[in-house]
Amino acid sequence: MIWSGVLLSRARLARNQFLPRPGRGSTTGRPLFAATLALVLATFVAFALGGLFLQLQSEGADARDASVGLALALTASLVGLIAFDLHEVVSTVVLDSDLELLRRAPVPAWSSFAIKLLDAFPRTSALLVILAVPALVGYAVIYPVPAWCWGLVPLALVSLWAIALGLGVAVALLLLRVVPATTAREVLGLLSTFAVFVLWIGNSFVLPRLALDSASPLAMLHAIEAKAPWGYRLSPGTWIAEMMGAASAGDAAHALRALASTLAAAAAAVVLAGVVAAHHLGSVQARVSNARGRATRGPARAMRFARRPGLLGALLSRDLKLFLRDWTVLGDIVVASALWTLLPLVGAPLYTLERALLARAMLLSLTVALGYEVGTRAIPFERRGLVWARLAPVPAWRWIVGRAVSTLAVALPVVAIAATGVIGALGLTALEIVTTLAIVLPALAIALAIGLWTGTAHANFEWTHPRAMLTLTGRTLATVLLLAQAVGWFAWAMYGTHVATGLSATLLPLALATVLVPALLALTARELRRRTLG
Amino acid sequence: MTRAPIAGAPPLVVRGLVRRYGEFTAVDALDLDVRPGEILGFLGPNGAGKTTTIKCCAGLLPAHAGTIEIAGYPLARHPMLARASFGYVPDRPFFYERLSAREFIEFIAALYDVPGDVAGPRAQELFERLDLLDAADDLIETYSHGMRQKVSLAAALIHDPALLMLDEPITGLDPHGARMLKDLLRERASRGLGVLVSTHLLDVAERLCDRVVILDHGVKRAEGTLAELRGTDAAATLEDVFLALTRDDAPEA
Repeated sequence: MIWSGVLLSRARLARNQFLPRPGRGSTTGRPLFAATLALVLATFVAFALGGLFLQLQSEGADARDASVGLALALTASLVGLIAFDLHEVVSTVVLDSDLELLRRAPVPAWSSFAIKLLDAFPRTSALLVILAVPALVGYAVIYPVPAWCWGLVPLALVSLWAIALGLGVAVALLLLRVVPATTAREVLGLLSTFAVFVLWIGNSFVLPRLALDSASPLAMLHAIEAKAPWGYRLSPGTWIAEMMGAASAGDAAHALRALASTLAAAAAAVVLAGVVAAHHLGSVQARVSNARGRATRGPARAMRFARRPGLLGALLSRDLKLFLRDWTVLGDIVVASALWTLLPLVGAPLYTLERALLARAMLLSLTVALGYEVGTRAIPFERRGLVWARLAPVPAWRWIVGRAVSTLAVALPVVAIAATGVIGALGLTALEIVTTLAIVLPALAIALAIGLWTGTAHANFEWTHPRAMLTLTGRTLATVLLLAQAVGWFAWAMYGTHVATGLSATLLPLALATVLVPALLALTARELRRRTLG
Repeated sequence: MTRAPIAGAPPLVVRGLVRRYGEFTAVDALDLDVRPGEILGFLGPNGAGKTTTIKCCAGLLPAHAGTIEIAGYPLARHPMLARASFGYVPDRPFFYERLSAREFIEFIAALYDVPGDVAGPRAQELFERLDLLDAADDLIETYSHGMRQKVSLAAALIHDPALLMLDEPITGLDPHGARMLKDLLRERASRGLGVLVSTHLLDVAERLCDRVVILDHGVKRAEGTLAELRGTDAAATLEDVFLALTRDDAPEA
C-alpha cells in the first residue's frame, strides 16, 4: 500500500467534508457557520477558564497548583470523547460505506483500521477544539510556557484523542463480538446513554457540594483532587496538565516525562485497538452489516387497512410504531427526562427555593429539555422516509403540524408523570398547581416548536447514535436555545412567584405560546420546503 | 382536492427544464413528453442528468428554469394536484426501515388519501403479484435490495397514478421480478397511463419502451421510436444508436 496516496486521499476527503466545493448537493455556508460557532465557543471557554486561572493566580497559586484546574478540563475532554464521540469512531470503523472496498483491497487489517481511525479524527475532534485547546490557551496566557512546549501540545492532544478512542474502540469491538448482532448498534447507543447518566449524576451531585464546602476556587480544586478516584492522578489529562505546569515552572525534564507517559499510553491504546481490530474487525463488520434476519412467519394475512385514517392518524400511528421499536431512542429519552427533572435539585445545597418555585423549576427544566430531546429529533428520526413529505400531496405545514402533535403525544405523558411526582412530593396546593401548569404547558409547546425548527434545519439523516440526530452545528445551536429558554422561563417563574401574581401574569405564557408556536411552525414548514430531500 | 387527471392531458410535459448545481449545468433546456399509453425510455450515460430530471419532475429538486406539467397540472402552481398524479420509484427507495411493508403501504395510502376499502384490495393484488405477501409483516430493514424495490413499486402504485416514473427499476430484481415489472408497466400503458423509465439496460429499453429519449451532458441527443432512431441503418441496434450519439465527438442534436 502506498501510504502517501492514502493520506492524500483522506486529506482530500476531510477537506471536501469541511469545505465543500460548489456542485451537486453542496451545502455552502453551513461548514463556515459550524466553524464560526466552534470558534465562538472555544473563545468563550478560553476566556472563562482564563478567568479561573487568573483568580487562582491572584490567590497565590503557582503554575503547578493551577495545573489541577487544567487537568480537570482535559479530563472532562477525555471523558466527553468517550461518552459523545466513541459511537462516531465505532460507526466509522464498522459501518462506513467504503469498508467493503477496503476489505477487498490487498491491505492488511491493521492498515485499513488505521485508515478508518484517520477518517474518524476530523469528525471527533470537536471536543479538542472547543474544550481542550481553549483550556490550554487559557492556562498558558496566565502561566506562560516556553515556545518548545507549544511544539509538544499537538502531540499531547492527539494522544488524548487516541487514548480515549483507541481504548473505546477496542472495548466496543470486543463487545460487538458477543452481543447479538441484531442489537449491536443499540447496545452501543445505550452504553453511551448510561455513561452520560452516571457521569451526570456523579458530577452534578458531588461538585456543587464541594463548591459549598470550599472557601475559594483553589480550595475547591484541591478538594476535588483529594476526593478524586485513585486512577485520576494517572490519567492522561493530569499528565498533560503536569507537562504544562512543569514547562511553565521551567522544569523541562518533568514536562518531557509527563509527555512521554501520555505518548506511551496513547501508543498502548492504539496498539491494543489495532490488535483487537486485526483479530475481530472483519467478523464484527460482517456481523453488523448482516445484522437483520427475517423472521419466518405463518400464512400471510389479507390486506385490510383503516377505512380513512387521515393524515394525523397515520402520522401518529406510524410514529408510535417507530418510537416503540427504536428502544435506543426510547431509553435515551426516558433517561434524559429523569436527569433534566432532577437538575434543579443539583443546586439545592447552593440555594434555597420555596416549594412552588422548586416544582416550577423542575418541570420547566424538563419541558425545555423535551424540546431538545423530543422536538429536535422528530424530523431526523424519519431519516429518508421524510422524502414522502415532498412526494405525497401533503402541504409542508400539514406535515409539520402532524409532527408537532406527535411530539406532543410523546412529551405530554412524560410531563404528566413528572408533574404528578413533583406535585405529590412537594405537596402543592390547587392554586399552585394551576399557576405551575399555566407556565409549564406553554413552555412545553414553545420548546417543542423551537426543537422542531432546529431539527428540520439541522437534521443529520444518517445518524447512528440517538444523541447525534442533529449536525454538530445543530446540537450546539439547540443547546444554546435550550439554555436561553431555561434562563427566560426560570426568570419568569421567579417573577411570577414573587412579584406578579395576578391573572394576567399567569396567562401571559399562554398568550406568548399562542403567538409564538404558529409562527415557529410556519417557519419550520418553510424550512422543510426549502431543504433538499432525497 | 380533485385527484383525477385532466381529461386528455398528457401524463408528463416538460418544457425548457434547466437544473444547475453551482456552476455545473446538469440539465439544459430539456423538453420531454410522456404520452398517454406510452412507455418512454430515458437513456443516457452516467451523469447525463437522467436522475436529476426525474427528481425535478418529482418535485425533489427545484428547477432553475422551465415548466413541468403532470397530468395537466403545473408542478409549480398546483403542486398538490401534480403530486397526487404521479408515482415515483427512485434508485434508492425512501422507507421507514422499522415499519413492515404492510404498515408502510398503509401509511402511504393514507398520505395519498386512498380510502382503506380501495387501498386494501389494491395492496393485496400488488403484494400477490410482487410476491411480497409472505414477507408483508416483516420489518423493511430485513428486506433484500430486490424486495425493497418491489415495496417501493407498490408504494408508487397504491394511488394508481396517471404517471409512473422509475429510476433504474430493474437493478436488483431477479429474472422473475424483472419480468413481472415489465408486464406490470405494459399493463399500465395499455390502460392509457404514462410510464417514464430511466435505465442503463439498453436491451430492456429496446424491448419494453415505445419511444426513447437519449440524454447526454444534460442535453437531449435524440428522441423517437427505435425505427426513427435507426434512420437509414435498419440493422442498427439501440446500443449502436446510443453509442453513436453519446460519443464525445458526436454532433449536437
